[in-house]
Amino acid sequence: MIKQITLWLLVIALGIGCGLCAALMLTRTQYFGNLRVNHGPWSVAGENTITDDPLMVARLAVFGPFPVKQSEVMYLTALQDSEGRPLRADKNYSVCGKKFDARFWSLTAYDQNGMFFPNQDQRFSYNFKTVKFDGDQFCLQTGPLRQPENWLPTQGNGGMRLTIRFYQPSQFLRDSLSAQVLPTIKMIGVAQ
Amino acid sequence: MKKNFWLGILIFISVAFASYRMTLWYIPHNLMQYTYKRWSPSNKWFHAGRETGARSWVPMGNPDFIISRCAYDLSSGPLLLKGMVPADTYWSLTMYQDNSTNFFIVNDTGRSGRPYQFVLTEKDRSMESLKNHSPDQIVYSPTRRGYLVVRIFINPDLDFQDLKACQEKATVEIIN
Repeated sequence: MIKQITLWLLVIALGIGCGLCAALMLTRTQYFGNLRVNHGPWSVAGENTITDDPLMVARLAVFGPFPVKQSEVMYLTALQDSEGRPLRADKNYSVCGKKFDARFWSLTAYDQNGMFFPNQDQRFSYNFKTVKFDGDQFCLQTGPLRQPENWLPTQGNGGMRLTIRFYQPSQFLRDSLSAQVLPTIKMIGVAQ
Repeated sequence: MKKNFWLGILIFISVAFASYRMTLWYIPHNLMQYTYKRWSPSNKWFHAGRETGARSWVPMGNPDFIISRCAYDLSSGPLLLKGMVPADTYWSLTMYQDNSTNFFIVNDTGRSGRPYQFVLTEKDRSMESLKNHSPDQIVYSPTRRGYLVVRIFINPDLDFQDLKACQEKATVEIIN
C-alpha cells in the first residue's frame, strides 16, 4: 500500500517537474517564438507578439515587456552576422544597408541581457536622423575600436544583439519584408 | 496492473500540463508584480530623460525616445489622463494590462501639437463620475491594475528642452 502511494506521488511529482521545466525552458530558449520572417541574420517577430498565448506573454515579460503591435513598430533582431556566426561584443562589425520605408527607424546594440553598452559618447543607437548616409545607403560600425563616424560602441567579451525598429512601417514594407534588402552584418576584425 | 499504468500516464500528462500552464501564468505576473513595485507609487507619471547607459528601466530599452511611465490602479475610480502631444515628432500612449499585454495604443497621427484627454476605467464601472468630463476617448482596462507608457521620439531637429517640457505636461488624476 505504501509502495503504491509512493509510486502515485512520484508520478505527480514527475508531472509537476516536467511541466515546470518545459515552461521555463520554452520561455527562456527562444527570444520571440513564432517568427514571421528569418531574413539573413535578421529575425522578425510575428504579428501575434500581442497575444493571449500564455507562452508568448511569458516570453515577452522576460525579454521584451511592454511591446506594441506591428503596424506601430516592427522589431528586427540579429543575434548572428551574415555568415551565421554569433555576434560578439569584442568584435567589430560593419552593418550596411539602405533607407527603409518607415516613418522612423533606428538601430540599437544590446548586450546579451538586452542592456546598453555603457560608453563615454552615450551612443547606444543610430536612427534615420543621426546616421550619416552616402546617398540612400548607410554603413555603421559596431565594436570596441573607435571609428570617426557612424560608430556604435560595444564592450566586454559577451554576446551582442542588434535590433532595428521600424516605427509606423509602410504597408508595403510589412507585406514584403522577406523580399526587402535588409542590412548585412560583416565582421571586420578582432579587437586588440 | 495495466489499468494502473494507463491511469498513471493520464495523471502524469494532466499534472504536467497543469504545471506547465501555471508556470506560464506565474512568470509574467510575478515579473510584472516586481515591475509594479518598482514603478510605485501608482497613478503617478515618472518622466525619464535620455538614456545614459545606466541600467535601463526595461530590457531592450529604446535610447531614441524619452519615456514616461505610470503604474495605474483603478480601485479608487477611473483615471483622467491629460497632456500634450508634441508637434513634428512621433508620440504614442500605450496601455498594458497587469501581465504586460498591450490593449490600447494611440499615436500622434491627427493629434500633433494638440492636447489630449483620455479616461481609463474598468468595465462595468458606473459612468456617473464621468459626466463632467468630455474625453477624446474612454478606454476600458481589462485588469484593475496595469501600466501606461508614453513614448516621444527625440527628434534632433527639435529643441530637447521643449520635448521634455511637453513630456512633463502629462498628468493622471483620479475621477471621484
